[in-house]
Amino acid sequence: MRLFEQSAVDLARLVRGKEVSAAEVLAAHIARIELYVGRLYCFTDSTFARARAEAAAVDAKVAAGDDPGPLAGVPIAVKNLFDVRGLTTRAGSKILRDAPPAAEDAPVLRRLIEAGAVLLGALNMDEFAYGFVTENAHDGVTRNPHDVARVAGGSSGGSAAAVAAGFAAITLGSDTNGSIRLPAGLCGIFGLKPTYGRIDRAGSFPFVDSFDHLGPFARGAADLAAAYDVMQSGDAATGALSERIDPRRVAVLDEWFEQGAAPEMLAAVADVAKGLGATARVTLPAAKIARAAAFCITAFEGGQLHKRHLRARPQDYDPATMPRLLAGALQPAETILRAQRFRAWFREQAAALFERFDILLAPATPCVAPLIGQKTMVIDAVEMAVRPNLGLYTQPISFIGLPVVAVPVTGGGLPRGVQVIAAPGRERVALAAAAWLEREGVVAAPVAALA
Amino acid sequence: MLRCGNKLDMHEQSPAERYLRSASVLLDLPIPDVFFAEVAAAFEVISAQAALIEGFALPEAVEAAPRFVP
Repeated sequence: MRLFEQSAVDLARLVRGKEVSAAEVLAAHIARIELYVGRLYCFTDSTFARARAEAAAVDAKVAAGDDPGPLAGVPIAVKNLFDVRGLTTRAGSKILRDAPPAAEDAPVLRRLIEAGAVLLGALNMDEFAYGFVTENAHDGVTRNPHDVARVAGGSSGGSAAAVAAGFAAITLGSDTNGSIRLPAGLCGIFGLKPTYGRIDRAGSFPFVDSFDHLGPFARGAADLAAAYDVMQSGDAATGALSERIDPRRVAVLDEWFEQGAAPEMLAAVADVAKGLGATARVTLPAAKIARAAAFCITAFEGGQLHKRHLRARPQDYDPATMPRLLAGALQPAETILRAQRFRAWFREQAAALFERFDILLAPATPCVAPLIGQKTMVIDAVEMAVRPNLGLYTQPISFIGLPVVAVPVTGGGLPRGVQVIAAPGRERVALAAAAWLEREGVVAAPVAALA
Repeated sequence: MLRCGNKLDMHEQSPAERYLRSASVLLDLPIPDVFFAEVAAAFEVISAQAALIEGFALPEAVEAAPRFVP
């Protein structure tokens, strides 16, 4: 297996065991990037000089017999809304392009570097994270490594595509309404959206305070757990990956989470349920209203955040972003208060389900990756707009901050992602389920064949 | 320079368009004329979602969760 195909856990083990140097690992990934990055457009900034210095520091620690950290020599990259020392944090925008460079790394990035990771650069995204396709009007379109005619998903599209392409073993993204789970699903990799509030958001450009989450992408559950364990201090998942999930406490979400889904997506959910031995089906009530409330709060809080620039520079926004922010900011307060009241009610409905179940399953997207530029999609003979509807099944879940692992289901064809959803604070259960599915061969994320 | 204003006769506009123009003035958040149609279309989509929330029979005792702890 070539170095760029190795998991983060295996790379760190090889580096720590002096079987390969961090410099060699880095060189293999840079070579892969230079060969194919023009085809996919994942990176908006590269930090290769910094990466070489970080790899050299890891190798020096190994040579000296010091502990180089659990992610020794692992190549990583971050969505360009994370502060990276020396780079402007532009969040996919033109508006922020002339802002001063960040003085420090975001704390969550600093943790990864201190654990031995090596930063390759910053990654493309939908402007200000308000989108599901990473067709960025300023920076260009990130293409899906499994079919370059198709979108990578968004808003963390560069982060997902970079891992799927073998450019980096781990990347970071953000998820407000599905922006980790959705591109992970469309690019055929694993993504973790932790519980709301679990990961420190300092040093990341915000979008919607009520729903913003940060999390990792990787090509396996063990890599997600390794990144997650480094990114926060209140939980530890790596040691819990072998825990068995009780099949009687796993259920497929029905009604809203099946309506409008393409048959191959429902088949993917069925495969995951079978892999976990689950037969139960349950309803999360009023998920349609939850999606509506998430939609309105997102537009409102996002619009409020951007009022200064919407007044002064509306023409400098991506045409796909500005009208929604402006309209969102002008919503009646009554809508937002009612949406936040509904949120409290909906949380209780989910809590009642988690008294009976540990894991809930739902598709990550209603369909496989749409074509770049595609405006509408036809599902069950119903034509619907692509951009707002890709997140139908992710929005009700992030609305109440539940932890989710998006898993890539095997079976040929374009990638299909399934959400493995756990109760608040129980990331370990979702990661253990993902690890079990991986061992059973139900889910897998091989590096995309780009040649 | 982007022009912003209420150049259309208010009676020729839909209630949503009249609301948007009024809210824009009251909240000092101008909508440039050149973008008004796109903003109005976005507001229509948001309003359809808001109607779903409004139509849901929420118990009166439920309090808002603006700072959410799951």
